[in-house]
Amino acid sequence: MTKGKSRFIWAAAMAAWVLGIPAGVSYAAYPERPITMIVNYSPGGGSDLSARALAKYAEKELGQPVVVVNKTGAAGTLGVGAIAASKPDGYTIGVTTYSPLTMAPHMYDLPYNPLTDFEYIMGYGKYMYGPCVRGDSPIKTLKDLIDYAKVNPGKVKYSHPGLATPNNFGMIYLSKFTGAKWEGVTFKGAPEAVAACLGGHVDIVSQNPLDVVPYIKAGRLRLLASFCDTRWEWVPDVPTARELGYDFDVVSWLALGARKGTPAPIMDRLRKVFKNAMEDPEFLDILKKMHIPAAYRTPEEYKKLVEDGYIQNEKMIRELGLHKSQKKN
Amino acid sequence: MDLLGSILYGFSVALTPDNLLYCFIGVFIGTLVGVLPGIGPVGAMSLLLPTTFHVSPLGAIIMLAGIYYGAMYGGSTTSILVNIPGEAASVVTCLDGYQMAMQGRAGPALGIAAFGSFIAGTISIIGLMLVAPPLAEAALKFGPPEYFTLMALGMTILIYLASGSIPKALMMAVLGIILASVGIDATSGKQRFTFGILELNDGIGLVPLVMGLFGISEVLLNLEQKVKREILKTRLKGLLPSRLDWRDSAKPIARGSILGFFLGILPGGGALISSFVSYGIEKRLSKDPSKFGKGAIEGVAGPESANNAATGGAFIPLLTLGIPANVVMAMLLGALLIHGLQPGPMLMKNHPDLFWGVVTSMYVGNAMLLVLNLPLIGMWVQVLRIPYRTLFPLILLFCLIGAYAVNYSQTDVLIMIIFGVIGYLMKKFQYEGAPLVLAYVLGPMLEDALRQSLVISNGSFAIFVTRPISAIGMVLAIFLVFSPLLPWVTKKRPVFKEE
Amino acid sequence: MGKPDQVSSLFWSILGLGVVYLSYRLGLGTLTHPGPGFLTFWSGVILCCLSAVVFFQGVRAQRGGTGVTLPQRWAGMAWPKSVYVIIALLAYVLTFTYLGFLLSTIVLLIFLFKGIEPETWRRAFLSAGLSSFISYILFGIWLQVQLPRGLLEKLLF
Repeated sequence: MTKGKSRFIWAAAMAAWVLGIPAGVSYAAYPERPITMIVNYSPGGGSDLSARALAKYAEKELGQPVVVVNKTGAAGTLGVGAIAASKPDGYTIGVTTYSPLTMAPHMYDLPYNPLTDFEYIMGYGKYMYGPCVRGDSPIKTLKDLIDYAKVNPGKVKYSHPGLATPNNFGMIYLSKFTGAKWEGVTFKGAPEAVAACLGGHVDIVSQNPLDVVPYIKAGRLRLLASFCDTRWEWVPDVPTARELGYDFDVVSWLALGARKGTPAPIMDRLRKVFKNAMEDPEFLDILKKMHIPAAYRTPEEYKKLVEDGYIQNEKMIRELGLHKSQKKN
Repeated sequence: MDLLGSILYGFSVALTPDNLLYCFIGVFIGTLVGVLPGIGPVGAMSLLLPTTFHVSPLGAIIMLAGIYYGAMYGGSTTSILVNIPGEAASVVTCLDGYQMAMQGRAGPALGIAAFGSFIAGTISIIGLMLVAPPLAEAALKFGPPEYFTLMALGMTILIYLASGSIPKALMMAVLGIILASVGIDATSGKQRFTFGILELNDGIGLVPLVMGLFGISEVLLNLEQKVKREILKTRLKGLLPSRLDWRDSAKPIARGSILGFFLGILPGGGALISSFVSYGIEKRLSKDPSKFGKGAIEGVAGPESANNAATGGAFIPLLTLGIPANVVMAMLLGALLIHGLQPGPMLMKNHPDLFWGVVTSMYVGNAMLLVLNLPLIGMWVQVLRIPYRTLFPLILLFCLIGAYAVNYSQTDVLIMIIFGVIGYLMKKFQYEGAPLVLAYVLGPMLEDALRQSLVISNGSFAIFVTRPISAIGMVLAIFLVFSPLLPWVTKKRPVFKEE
Repeated sequence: MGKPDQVSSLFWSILGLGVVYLSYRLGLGTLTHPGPGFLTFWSGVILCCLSAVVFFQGVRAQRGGTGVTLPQRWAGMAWPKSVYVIIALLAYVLTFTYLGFLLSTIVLLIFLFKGIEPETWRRAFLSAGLSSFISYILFGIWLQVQLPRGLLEKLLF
């Protein structure tokens, strides 16, 4: 090396070291003030309460309050959008659930790009799905349902909370694989969808365990199958769709994330702290009560889930004719 | 356990020092949050939710429930004093309550609101105790066609809401439907009138809309008056409702309570709709409908009772079936879950202490609220004495913060301001806000119910008349729409009013 | 009555036409399978029809002499004040998150206390400062509303 070049390298190294010191010091001091956790669903629901439990745990390790702020609406996209719009300084994190990242972007013009705008802290839970009928219905198994639907075309209706939801997709995939036909009725939310089935206005309700397990236990509803890759742990006798010969599954995830560009040391700290939360008995207890199976995924794993889901759901959404490019306006 | 035994048992758990304290904290915070415009019980409940983790389940529910019905008490305060609904459900109280305040009768208005709320709360709790399970099952029978009919019935009330020009009121109603359509349409997945703004995907929020339309516009109108409101403050005609007021309010309170109770049971029904319907009914049944909108105490007594009774009714689907009738109930459901309780059909059976404890503490809470609110009337009335030039910036500030706090959205605050201007212009050009709000709330439910019903019936409209409940409702709606015309048809126009 | 009604009804009919057009583009569907634009389409149509009714009522009132003219509605009113207030509120909303709660609120309140009605500078400053501070405590701390942090908060906390 020439003398000039080596001097240059020396100077550059010195500069990097000098500049690095304050940066290193400030990251060690993180967090210096309260952190905001944006939850994209309403207070009291599964996503909200599990996030609050995480926040509570994190406060202990981080030494600063983690304040939950609900920013609800538009199927979870408003909250996710707020995370994408936040400053990547580590003081704003939030719940980055699966469907606002993998389904909604195909349907609406959203101000965030799910593939590039987020750094994930971890995936922590799974949402499960499955069709239920009323307890007093003569339909006892999935096969009964399929037979019934084939004999009574146009009669079978199911309730779901939205077109681009795994709840709906599950029923559609099932229809494709079995050849039985049914029609979906959109309701505003889970309670309305469940009430519609209980009251006899629709035949099937397709919801999360949280919404239906109490009724299953009371005998008012009966689960016919699990749409996921595993059975429902609360109703272990009911097989998955795959076990019955229909090769598909739908699932959705709960995760925490922040804006991309958040400094790596801060992300590492957050990832470590929240990973520890997965062992916190209080948090696990809340997950259990919310009927959300704990499912830790590393940030890289979750990123992959989102990427795969993005592609996979695009196909389904196009088939349904819901893709934003297919709409007139 | 027989009924009396259960009630006594409930009181025995509700009146423990711990639970009494939680009850008090809940109703106190609820009142505070109800008075402050914008911020509602949901926000306060979500704040307190974590602190309830370590409290007994009963204590937690008592406190959270207290926040909810406490907010209903408090919400009417600002409606009456400054025409700003503290809670969206208190919008209707603005119509006559504010007028009463302008006439120096803020005290009686606040008083009858408090008393009416208490009586209504008591009645709804009695209903809750006696007929909860069968009512809940009956409520399940209300499917999309029944909801459609119910909403259609509600729409007919619109006609009675208008104090002035009917065409203009109908225009406002139609506008309300259009405004309510802004956002993502759930059934088709399409964005309607959102013009690419993300926040509008969720629609125009009810709270900012109502705060702007009624509250901000009123401030603007007051500001431009050169003759100040000093006049009003010297004519305070007593702080409590007079005997005459009680006589006029008795039946509205009774009707409002029963109406609110039943409407509150239906998921999606709720306090707002009950108060509107109560107002319409009172006006319809009144001997002198023209006094509505100008400070008729019936216009405060009925709706205020209705919205409180509705909060009681809303507990029924939650406690007996585990179905939350509104967002607040959904939060309570979450709280129950956290405490390891399974809300659902088994709750009453497995945890009678919870059910009866909560129900009896609601009674205790209502009593506390009456005791809390009555002395405060004197204080609130003093607020009106503050010179407007000092008062209005504070009103505006509280509205701004309140609107922001609902969903942490600047867009919401912007919407509030824009509707403040619209409301101001509307008042100038003599268009009324109440029909707009009612249609705004009913419209989406009407549309959803229609589309859901048509999917279920495979496109047949017969579903609305073949199902018994729906058919009855339809007949009633047609009757209500055409009954004002009856005198013309039968030429039996009453020439003199009976006395 | 009179001219104001004519003006307002004209406004509503234009709005109504816009709604009708946009609704049509959204898709009307059929009577048995209503599309997203169905309800709003008919709402817009009704709006236009009713505005026509109001328009003619206005014309009739004007002809009959019972009408009021537009300027009369605003006669004797200090309406510029309302305009200033609106501008102030809009400015507040737009700068709120950047300037932070405390600073923007203090500025807004000073303007509202001082600029609309007669008030001394001292009282305006005092009221503004006190109100901002109290609402910060009430909303920001007691009710735990996450108020935006801006320049002033960064200095003080």
